[in-house]
Amino acid sequence: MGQPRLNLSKVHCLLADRDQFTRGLIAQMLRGFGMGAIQVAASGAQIRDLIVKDRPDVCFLEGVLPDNEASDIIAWIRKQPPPLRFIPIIVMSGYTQLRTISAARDSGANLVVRKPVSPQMLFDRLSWVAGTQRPFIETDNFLGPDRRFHDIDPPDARFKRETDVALEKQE
Amino acid sequence: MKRLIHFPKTTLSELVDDFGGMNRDDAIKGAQQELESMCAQADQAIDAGIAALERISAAPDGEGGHSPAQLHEILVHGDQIVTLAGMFGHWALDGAARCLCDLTDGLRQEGRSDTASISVHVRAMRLLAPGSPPLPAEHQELVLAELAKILSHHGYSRASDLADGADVAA
Repeated sequence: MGQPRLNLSKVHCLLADRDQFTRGLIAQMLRGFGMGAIQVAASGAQIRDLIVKDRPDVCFLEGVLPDNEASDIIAWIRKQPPPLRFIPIIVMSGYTQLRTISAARDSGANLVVRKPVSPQMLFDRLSWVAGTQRPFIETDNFLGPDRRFHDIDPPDARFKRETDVALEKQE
Repeated sequence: MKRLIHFPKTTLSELVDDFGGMNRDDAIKGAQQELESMCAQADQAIDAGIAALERISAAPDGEGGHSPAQLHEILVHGDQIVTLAGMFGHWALDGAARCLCDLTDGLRQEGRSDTASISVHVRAMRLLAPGSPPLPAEHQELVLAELAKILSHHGYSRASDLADGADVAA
């Protein structure tokens, strides 16, 4: 398989993390990938405001924010009128937030990753989210990308190289 | 029960396919360069985080130990240190910070406090911090093994045991 190539120069992303320095670090990584516009938020209220006003193409949300859990925000996004509700959402879980991950999954996140995130991990997950078309399911109690994997490999099965495996083992 | 299935083409998937862009190796290299430029700031943030933990650890304000609010604060700082230590390859500090988070989370869930156990973890983190004199690898392992004993003495589980299932598609 050839290397995936992404043109992120016109992509507008929303990045939310309660910690200013961590936000800066992840934003720097995304800039390194050539991401065109990065808006940052530190709370659920800011996220809601920016989502409606600026309609980002992809969101990176920390699992727990000071005023909201990511699951609440995702549930709100998934109830917005199309095409807003289809925004790809990647949740970044802090170490102490791992216990709340199932809530983020069930609220309609596209992907949940755990921090610390490496450039390899972030690029591969973003590439997977951008390149994988998953049906969007709308039922009485779930709105979001299909959580089942029939014909699509989950992200770990793709793009992995020996060097990445070594890095992830260290994590 | 209502059940609709959409097949939306997102703007993200349309934009990334535009001509140009970066291949994986170049993108990762670019991101790593950006990260390296922030290494010194990350060390400062780690130092500030440990200093905050030292302050909280030394001044428990609850009955018989740290209050729930303080335990929450310890978790917030500990979580940030796990993130930064992992991103910048301070593996021993990462291990000690995770252990502190597991301990604090366990204490918080049980409505308990144990000032001595928290204090030992914070001191170990200072010992393993990037600005401290470097410890030989076998000494680092010894420190981490002793911290693990404290955790198992309390009978608390590690959140990292859940981590294998964490990094998966939702």
